Amino acid sequence: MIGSFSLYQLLVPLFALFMIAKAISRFLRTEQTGRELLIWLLIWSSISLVALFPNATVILFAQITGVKSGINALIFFGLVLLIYGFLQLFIMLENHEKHLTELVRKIALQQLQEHENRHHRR
Amino acid sequence: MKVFIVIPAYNEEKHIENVLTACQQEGFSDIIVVNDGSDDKTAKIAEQHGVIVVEHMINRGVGAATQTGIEAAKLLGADIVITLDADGQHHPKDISTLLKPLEEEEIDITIGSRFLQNNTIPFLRRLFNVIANILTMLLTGIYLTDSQSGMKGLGKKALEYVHISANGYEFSSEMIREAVYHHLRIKEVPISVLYTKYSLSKGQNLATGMITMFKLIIRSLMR
Repeated sequence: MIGSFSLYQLLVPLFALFMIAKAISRFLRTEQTGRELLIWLLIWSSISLVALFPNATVILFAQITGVKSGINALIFFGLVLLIYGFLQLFIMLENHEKHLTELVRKIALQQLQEHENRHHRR
Repeated sequence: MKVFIVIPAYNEEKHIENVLTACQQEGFSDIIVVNDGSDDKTAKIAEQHGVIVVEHMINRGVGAATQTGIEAAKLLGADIVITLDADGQHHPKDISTLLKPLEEEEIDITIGSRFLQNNTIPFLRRLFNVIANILTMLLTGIYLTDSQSGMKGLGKKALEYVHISANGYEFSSEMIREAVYHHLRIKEVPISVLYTKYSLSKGQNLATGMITMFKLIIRSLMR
C-alpha cells in the first residue's frame, strides 16, 4: 500500500500512460489516424480509471450491466480475457501471414529481375 | 508516361485470355499478370499473350498479388499503374477514364466506381458495398461510392507511398487509408461492370465480407 492506493493502482495508470505515449508517437509518425488515437486514449483512460477507482467503477458497472455477484463478475472478466487472448492470437497469425507473403513476393520479384536481366543480355 | 496494367489472377484460365486481349486492343502493351499460385493454366495463357508473368509460388490473396504487381511495375519503371480484376468484370476501355485524372489533373489515385453510372448490380452486392463504404469511412474519414473496387489507378506519388500489407480483399480499404495518411488526392471515376454467375461466385460474399470487415477493424485497432 502506498498512501491509500495499492501498488497496482499506481502501476496500471503508469503503464497506460506509457501505452498512450506510444499511441501518440504512432500518430505523430502518421502510422495511425486521429480516430485510432482517440480510441486508444479512451481504452487506456478507462483502464486507468478502473484501476484508480475500483469501487466507483464496480458500482457503475453493476448499474449498467446488472452483474452484481462476484461469480458473474468473474465470468465476465474471464470472457474479456479470452477475447483479448483470441485477438492477440489473431494478430500473431496475421503477422505470420504477412511474413509469408513478403517471402513469396521476394522470390517472385527476384525471378522477375533474373528474367529481365537474361532478356537484356540477349 | 509509362503505364503498366497489373492483373492479379488466381485460377482464371477461363477469362484471362479475353481480359488480356481487350487490354492489348486498347493499346496497352506493358501488362503484368500476377499468377497467385494458380493450379490451372492461367500463367501459361498469359505467357502466350506475351505479357509479363510474375509468379507467387503459393496463393496469398488478391491484396498480396496486387502489391506484388505494383512492386514489379515499379521495378520496370512504371509512372502509372492501373489494376483490374482477371475475372472479366471490368472493361479495359475504362482504363483511359482512370488514366485521365492521373495524367491531366493533380490526382494521385483514381478509383473506378461501379456506382457512378448505370450498371446492373445485384441488390446484395449493393448492400455489401454500402456497409463496406461506411466502415471504410469510419476508418479513413472519407466516403467513397465504391471503396471495394478492384479497378484503380495509381500515379507516381501513390506508387511511392502506398504499401498494401493486407493479403485479402481488405486491401482496398487499406489502400484508401494509406492514401489518407500520406495526404494523396483521390478521385472516383465511373466505370462499367459486367457481373456474371462466375464473377459473382469469385467475389466477396457475406462470409468473406464479414471476415474482411473483422480483419480491417482489428488491424486498425491493434497495430
